[in-house]
Amino acid sequence: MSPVRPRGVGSVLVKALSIAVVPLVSVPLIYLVIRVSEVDPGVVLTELLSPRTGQLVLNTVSLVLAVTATALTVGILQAYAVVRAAIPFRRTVTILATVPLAVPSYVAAYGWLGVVPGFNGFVPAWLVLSVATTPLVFLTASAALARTSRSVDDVAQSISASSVRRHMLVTWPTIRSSVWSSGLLVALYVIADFGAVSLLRYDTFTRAIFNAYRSSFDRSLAAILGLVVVVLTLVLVVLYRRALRREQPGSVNVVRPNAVVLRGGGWPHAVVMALWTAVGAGVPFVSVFAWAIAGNSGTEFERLAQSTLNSVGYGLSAATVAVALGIVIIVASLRYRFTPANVAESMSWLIHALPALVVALSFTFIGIRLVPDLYQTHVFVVLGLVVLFLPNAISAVEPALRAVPPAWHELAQSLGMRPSTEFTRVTLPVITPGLLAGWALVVLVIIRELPLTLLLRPNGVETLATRLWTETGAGSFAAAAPYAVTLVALAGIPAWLVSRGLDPQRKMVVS
Amino acid sequence: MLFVHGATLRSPNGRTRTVRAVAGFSAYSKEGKVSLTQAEKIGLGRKKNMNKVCARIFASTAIIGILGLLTACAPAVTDTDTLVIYSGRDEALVDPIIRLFEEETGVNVDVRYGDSAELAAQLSEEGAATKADIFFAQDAGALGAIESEGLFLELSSALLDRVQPEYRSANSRWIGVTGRARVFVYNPEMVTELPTSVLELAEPQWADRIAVAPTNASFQTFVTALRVINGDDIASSWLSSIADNAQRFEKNSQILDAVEAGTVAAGLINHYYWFQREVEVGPGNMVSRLAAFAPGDAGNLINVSGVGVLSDNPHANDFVSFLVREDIQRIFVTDVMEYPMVAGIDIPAGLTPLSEIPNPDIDLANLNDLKVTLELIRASGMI
Repeated sequence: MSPVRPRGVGSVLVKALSIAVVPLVSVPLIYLVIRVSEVDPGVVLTELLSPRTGQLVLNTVSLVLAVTATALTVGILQAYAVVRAAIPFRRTVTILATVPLAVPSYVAAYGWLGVVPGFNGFVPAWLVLSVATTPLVFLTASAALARTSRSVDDVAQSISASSVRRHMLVTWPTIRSSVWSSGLLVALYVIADFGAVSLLRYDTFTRAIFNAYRSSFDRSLAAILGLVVVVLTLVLVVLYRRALRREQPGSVNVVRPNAVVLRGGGWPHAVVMALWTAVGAGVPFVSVFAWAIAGNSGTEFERLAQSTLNSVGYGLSAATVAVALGIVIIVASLRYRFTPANVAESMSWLIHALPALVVALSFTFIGIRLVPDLYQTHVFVVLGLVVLFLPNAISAVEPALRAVPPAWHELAQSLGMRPSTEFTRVTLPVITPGLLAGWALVVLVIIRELPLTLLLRPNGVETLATRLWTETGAGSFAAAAPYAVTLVALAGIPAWLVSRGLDPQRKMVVS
Repeated sequence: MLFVHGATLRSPNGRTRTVRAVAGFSAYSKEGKVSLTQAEKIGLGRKKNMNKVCARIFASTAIIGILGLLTACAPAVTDTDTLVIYSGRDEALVDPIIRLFEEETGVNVDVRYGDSAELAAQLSEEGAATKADIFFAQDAGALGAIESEGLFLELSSALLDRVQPEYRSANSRWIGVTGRARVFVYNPEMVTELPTSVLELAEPQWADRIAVAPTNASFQTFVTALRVINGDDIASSWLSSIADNAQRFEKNSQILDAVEAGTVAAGLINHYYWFQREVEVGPGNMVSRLAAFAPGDAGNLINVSGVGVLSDNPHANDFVSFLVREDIQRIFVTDVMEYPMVAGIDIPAGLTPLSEIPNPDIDLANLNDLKVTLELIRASGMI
């Protein structure tokens, strides 16, 4: 989008809100700096240079690289097969590809451990996290692939015989920005994940940070490690922003290219994709349902209903606020080139890589001092969830907004439209499908969230994830099963909505 | 060139359509000119309905959310008739006891359940501003951490005197509520000669015959005691031999299962797992037996769950004295088979009295630093 001179109330509001987000997303960083500054610099240096820190960097980086590469490869191939190729049972395969989204990584790890004892170390962690994150790539990549235009593809086909070259010319530029943002999302997910790496006993920074808190009550060590995570993430975010800066605004697809005919009528692809899901999500599913069947301890239905309601309430409200703020930040950044919006966006990415426990403790530390009346209320939980999942909202909003050709804004302006009118009449209708898919996705990740909800919730308030955690912690897998099943079923609804919304071959989609 | 929202179009079949969104598209034709290819009407059929449904959910959530935020912003009522407890102990265990306290006193109790260590971290961050009046923790380590943050108020001597000095804070900041002992569980068909020290388990005759749960907090606390009593060098070499000898499990209950089934000869667990299992299967039906090591051995460590007071809420002290009252202590003993901390409470048959357990003489609050312990366990390759 080309920068425009700000006019009207809308732009003031957009700017004011993006400025307001900055202190909110800087809470965890301020906290880390305060904690580290309490420590003698010599101790910080020793800790940073210790062989253990080096080992953690190596472990974390190798897991991040392996999982991100796998998720990107598998996710893009899945998206290509579903969006661009003719494969059998396309609808089913689409839904199957999104199914792992509904299984939180700690449930998946528990499930695997129930079936394969001794399932631990790098390869299991890589497998569980790859399966868990691939849908993130699949969803954004299929949304982007749906934007490839037929005429441009035809032109490319006419001037180039090689399909690889054609994809480099046409397909890759269309999906590039989505690939980068989903890749970043996957990398940060891996850095921040605790459930899977701790159950599968693979040492990453997040596991070391949790251990520092839990076993030695050592807040300074946790903070030092947290700052290392921030620095590592900073490298990723800078790379991401560089890659994106070269990005040209996209086009809007009207007619998609003809479906590519695959060898074997697409059957091998469909089978492989089904297998990926069967192995990745099927094993934990079977495990969880086995608990449910084995369980004879009576579930308190009222309690289950109440925690379901709480999960849904948090999910819907936090996702709505996060997507709204995401739009504000991206509009301010793309349209007005407003620096605080860029700052807010980059910082929200940094926070996304921090263990949720650290984010929650930082909100505890600052919240109880600045807004004691708000601390441990529903509002506070929602606030924390919004900060934690703003990047998920942004990564859904950004490609959608970037896809609006700048010429439209120019034209709208030349027709005398005010920016706010232009937003509601031009931009919003175009980005709506992408936004709703993104919104459903954020609802889903919030429903699965555990550590932050656990710490910030009002006393006595339970969600499905916290109940599941309590019951499995007490060793009662049977009592945990109804919560696990409800959680998976509930998370399946947005996953299904997203897969429906993104099914581009069903109807012509402009997104 | 493009069409703007609201423009009217004539489609090839002659029908007039209203463009609902901007959907013009420019492409390069072979002549290199930019031409308009098509305007697409979006929002057809099911797609339209789906989007509408989604949009409605989105909008109504936004409205409900804003209303919710406004109502929730009303400041929470704080009064002294409410007691806020952070409990690191299980809800299933604590909840009935709290109900009793509420019935007796009419005080409204607000409990926050969680993991002891995470609640300790949260309390440390909340500092003096915390709304909690009581911290009820699973182990002495978490209590020691809060004590060293200076958050606990001093307990009255009347309360402190209820509990033996070794099971309370040296600085009068917390008292033990229940105790649990580390024990040696063995299958009598597979073990004929009992070890006198936990250190013996590192010897070659125990290869593949001993079970431990290295990620379990109780095991880690025991290793800390081993370090305090025998020194880091001995603890470290013990751990690396155990790493070779031991079958590893995640939980104490799994170790008990394995010893009962005879897949491993012996294991290190907490005492109450065995007694709870005996209640389940019936007295006399247990295959495995329990044993203690020689007096003063780290393997006989007794750890406590305990409680400290964080605020001057008058009901806080009432609750602490309630927990160490005889009838309540009796509930802990019968329900979870843990040891009472108060003298004069009968314990179930078969449970070795606490006074007869030759436990090592160490300050439990010193067990709060697990950092080196974890490094040693990690270096041994067990976690």
